[in-house]
Amino acid sequence: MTDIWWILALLATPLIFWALWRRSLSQKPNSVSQSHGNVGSEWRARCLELGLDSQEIHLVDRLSQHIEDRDTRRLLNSRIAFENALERSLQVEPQLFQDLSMRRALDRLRMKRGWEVSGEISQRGQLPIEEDELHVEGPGGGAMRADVIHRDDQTIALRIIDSFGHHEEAVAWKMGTDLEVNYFQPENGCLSFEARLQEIRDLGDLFLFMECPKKIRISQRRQYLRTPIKGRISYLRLPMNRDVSLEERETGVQFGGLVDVGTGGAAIGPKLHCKTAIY
Amino acid sequence: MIRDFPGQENVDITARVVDVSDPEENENSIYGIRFIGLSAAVKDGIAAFVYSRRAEEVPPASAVSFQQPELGTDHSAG
Repeated sequence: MTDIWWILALLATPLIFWALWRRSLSQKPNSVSQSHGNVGSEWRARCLELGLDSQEIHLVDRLSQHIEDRDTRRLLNSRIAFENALERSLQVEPQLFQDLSMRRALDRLRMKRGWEVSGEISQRGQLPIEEDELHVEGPGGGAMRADVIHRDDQTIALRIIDSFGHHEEAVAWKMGTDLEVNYFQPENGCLSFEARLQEIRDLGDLFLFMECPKKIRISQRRQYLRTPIKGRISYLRLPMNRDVSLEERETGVQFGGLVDVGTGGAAIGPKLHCKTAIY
Repeated sequence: MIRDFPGQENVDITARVVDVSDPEENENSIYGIRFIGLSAAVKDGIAAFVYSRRAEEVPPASAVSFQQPELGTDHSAG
């Protein structure tokens, strides 16, 4: 009888270890969700209001653990604070960004905040559109400026405005020539891509046809984002140049409209003079 | 000195004129101004306003197709 108990005990031991191992595995994903749960509801609501998804919120929460006052609001509003926290977190827990989803969240977060995004992205909206002006460089030092007149899935058609460098070489580019293209979009910054030439056609004006690129690189993103805004403000302008004559000075309170605003400044529009109030 | 700035109605904002549009190009002058000496709270308030508007304009994450960096590359640190 004792032998039977010993056999049962020997059989049960591996089963118990297996059950414990399974339990520890099932608890690992919960640690992430518990971390998500640490984020206060007010803070989460604020993040959602800013358009952040759960991965991005999780990333900000992790970064906030590496700043002294855990002021997550400042983390999102100040690029310097964000990058400092990022640098600290990379020193303390480098494994954080071994997770691909975290790296993607970091890219998206920087993009949403209007901060610089490095690396390559593929995004339909950033392909050159009609009337974009492109700077096209080819081999041999030849380069052209050209306007986009048409784009489809395979081809971008351009009207050449000007060419410089070795003009003859540029016009002699053959089908398949590798081209490097740079262009600027006001809300995206300087973008660039590589493409192969399909054809240069002389129809009085020169037209260039190139393959539509699959990848667009962001060479430089606008550091100072401007957001269009409508609003009425009142302001007092104090000339700093003492040589300005009294007639040229704007005295009293002016009223104007806001055109756009950035984190460091704004543009204010047409003014209406009003000399009835003084600040 | 600016008053009634949207979202910052309770404070007077000091700014320096850094750019004036060419009157030949634009009949109504546009002044480019740079804020001076804002408190951290006002800076944060303006930044929050600007970036919340930006977040509305950026397409949702599902509409953006990011190229997947290769594993092992330090893509995140750039």
